Amino acid sequence: MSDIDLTTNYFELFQLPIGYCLKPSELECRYKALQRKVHPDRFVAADERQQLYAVQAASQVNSAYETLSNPLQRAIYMLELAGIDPVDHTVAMPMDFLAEQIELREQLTNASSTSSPATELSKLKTHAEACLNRLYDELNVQFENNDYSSAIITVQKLQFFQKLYHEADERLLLLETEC
Amino acid sequence: MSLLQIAEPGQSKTPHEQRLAVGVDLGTTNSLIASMGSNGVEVLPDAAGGFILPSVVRYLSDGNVEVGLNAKLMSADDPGNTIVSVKRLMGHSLAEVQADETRGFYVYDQIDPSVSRIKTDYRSVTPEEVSAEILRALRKRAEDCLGGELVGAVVTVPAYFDDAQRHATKHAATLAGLHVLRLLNEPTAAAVAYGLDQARQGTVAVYDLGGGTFDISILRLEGGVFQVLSTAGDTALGGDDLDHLIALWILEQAGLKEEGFSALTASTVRRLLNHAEEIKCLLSEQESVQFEIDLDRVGNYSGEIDRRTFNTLIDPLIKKTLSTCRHALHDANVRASEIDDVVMVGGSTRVPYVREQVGKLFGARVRTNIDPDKVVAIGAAIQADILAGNKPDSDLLLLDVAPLSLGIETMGGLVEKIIPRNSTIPVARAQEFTTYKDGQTAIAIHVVQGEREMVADCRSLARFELRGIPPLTAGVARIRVTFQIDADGVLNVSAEERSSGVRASVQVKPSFGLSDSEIADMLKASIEFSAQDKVNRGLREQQVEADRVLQAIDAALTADGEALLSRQERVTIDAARLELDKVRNGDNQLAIKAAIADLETACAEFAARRMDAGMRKVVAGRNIHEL
Repeated sequence: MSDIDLTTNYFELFQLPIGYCLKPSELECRYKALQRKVHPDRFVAADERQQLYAVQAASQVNSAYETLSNPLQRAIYMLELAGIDPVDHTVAMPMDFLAEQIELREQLTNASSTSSPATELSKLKTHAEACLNRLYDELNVQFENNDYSSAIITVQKLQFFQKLYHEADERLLLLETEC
Repeated sequence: MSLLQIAEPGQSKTPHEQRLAVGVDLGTTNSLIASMGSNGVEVLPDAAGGFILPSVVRYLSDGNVEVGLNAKLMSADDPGNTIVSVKRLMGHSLAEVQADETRGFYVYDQIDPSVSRIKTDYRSVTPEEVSAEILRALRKRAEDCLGGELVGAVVTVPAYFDDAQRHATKHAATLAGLHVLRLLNEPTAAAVAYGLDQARQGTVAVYDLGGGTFDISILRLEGGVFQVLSTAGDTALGGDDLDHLIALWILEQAGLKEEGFSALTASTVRRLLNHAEEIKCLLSEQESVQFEIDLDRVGNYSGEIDRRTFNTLIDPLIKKTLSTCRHALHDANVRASEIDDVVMVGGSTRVPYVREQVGKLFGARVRTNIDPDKVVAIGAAIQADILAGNKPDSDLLLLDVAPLSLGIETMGGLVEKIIPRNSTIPVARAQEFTTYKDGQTAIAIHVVQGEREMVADCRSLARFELRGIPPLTAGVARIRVTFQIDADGVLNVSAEERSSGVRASVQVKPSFGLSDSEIADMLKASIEFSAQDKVNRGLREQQVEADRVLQAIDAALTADGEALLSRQERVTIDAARLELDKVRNGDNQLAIKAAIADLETACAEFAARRMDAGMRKVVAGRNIHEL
């Protein structure tokens, strides 16, 4: 248990090199191996201090897994490791991108008043998903080249599309569960 | 001393000694207790050979308490003193239980609005105390069957139980003298029983419709890991509600639609509900049921109900569960068609209409091959056996989630979510707070649980004040509050003041039934640390550290001492070990620290050899002083 150092960064915790490109199956495998070591279920008979440590260690492993397995959170985390806080960082977004977002938001708002809201929402969701995937690919290259200033912009774009995706998804779920 | 710790944690020192641990299914209607025996899990019977203990408690005039079938048989004759379905009251305030007539028709003590204290003729009891009676009866049954004292129990709770309900359950177990090894979510327990029994892999949905609660959990089963992807549910929807609908239908047929239950005495209400339950069970076997019941001033009413009518009555409730299933699938990011199996749990899943509708949603893969009444207790017993240390080689790992989002109140009564629902537990999130006025020394924090955006629509868990903040200019103080949900799904809050350099933290267990002042007292000590406290803390830390080092070295010596050490080397280590053992009990912090260092030096060579003997991989890059 004590061979797990909780002060390291998430990549080191998972014994992975810092890098944007990750194999989900490998990450999951390491995650489970770590939880096998630190999960509180393994320390039920241990003293209070060890139990507390297990709760903290397992929480840390969970946070790390959540962060690394999510491509957007992983990107934000990597920027943070590089000393950049993308949330506080104000960058001017390209005008054409903002115009596109306004257009998409309008489509989302108007979807419910169209003849087939479900189709409209699905279309938006698919579009958002495709854009997300494209941006993830861009991030791959940007991190590869240590091009953080571009990565910051990509992360901001991702947040726009993520939000769009979630809202379209939520509205679809509502439609599905209402009837 | 990381180099020396190679014994697996949780491993029993004496492998042949079976530690008695039980799994308890504390149900709304029925409760069970199970334990791992030499031939697998056994659900433990009472003296008469029955497995099910009706969750009914009757308080008698002589101060005695009756639990189970005898109490249930008297529930209509002595309704004021016989408590049924107490689980529905757990962790709820008086106002909440009184607002919902399906939670029973008891007389409540009005003294403390935060507690739903039931007034019987002879004494007033809290839901925890009533549950404790059920648990005590189960504990006695287990001790009789197993012939020894229990080291602990895994007690199951609905996955959708909130923090207050979990606290109440733990409290009940404590009152019953049971050491809770873990609170385990019922659907997860069922998945364990099912998954291990069938050696299943894949994605599984557990649909658990019990007496009073509904849960749906989506899990991934792979190589001994049971990973809950999402859970959703309703802690006030179950078989009781189906009974209720039948009872109301009967009243309607008898011309009592307007008055409803208010037309009847408490005793008749109980008899009617018991009757409705029987009708419901019969309708799972036959197409229609004839009944006759005494409805007070209406007199004897006889009628007939067929399955189709029953299905129509319950349809809205079942549809509600299906809608909840869709939410769970959505949160798990899994399509209904990707579910390999649906495990049906809880007595209410015997209802054909429920099976049919659930089968339709997920495709026709509804599993009922393990008794839906027993499956939860069986799963809990498997987990209890492992947690008690009887199965050091087990590869079972349960990764469960928090069912509800956790947040705090912000300006304007809005909720800021801190831990989203379906986060894998244990989980911790820290939030930093600061003061908004010069010289402010306290901050009020309101913790809520739920999915809604307004505080008023969420469950209030605790309000407390962080006091003793050093009076500074507004915005300078930095108070870091950590919200930690542990493996039982229970919340702990700790606070730390960082600006003054003093790091202090205290645990808070907010809970229903705890008054605000009690919670405030717990927190008062927070942040207020005197010099003596620091010294004491330093000494305690060294003592704990000494224990840890001693334990590690003992384990290492037992494992490899014989093989890797010469006689002389062993003598040197033993001497250093003895010295640490001696000073550990004193109050000289520095002496303990020195003795730890000496022992570590004496063991350095031994540790290095152990590393060479195959540990290099695990400890690469670490030195002996690293913790």
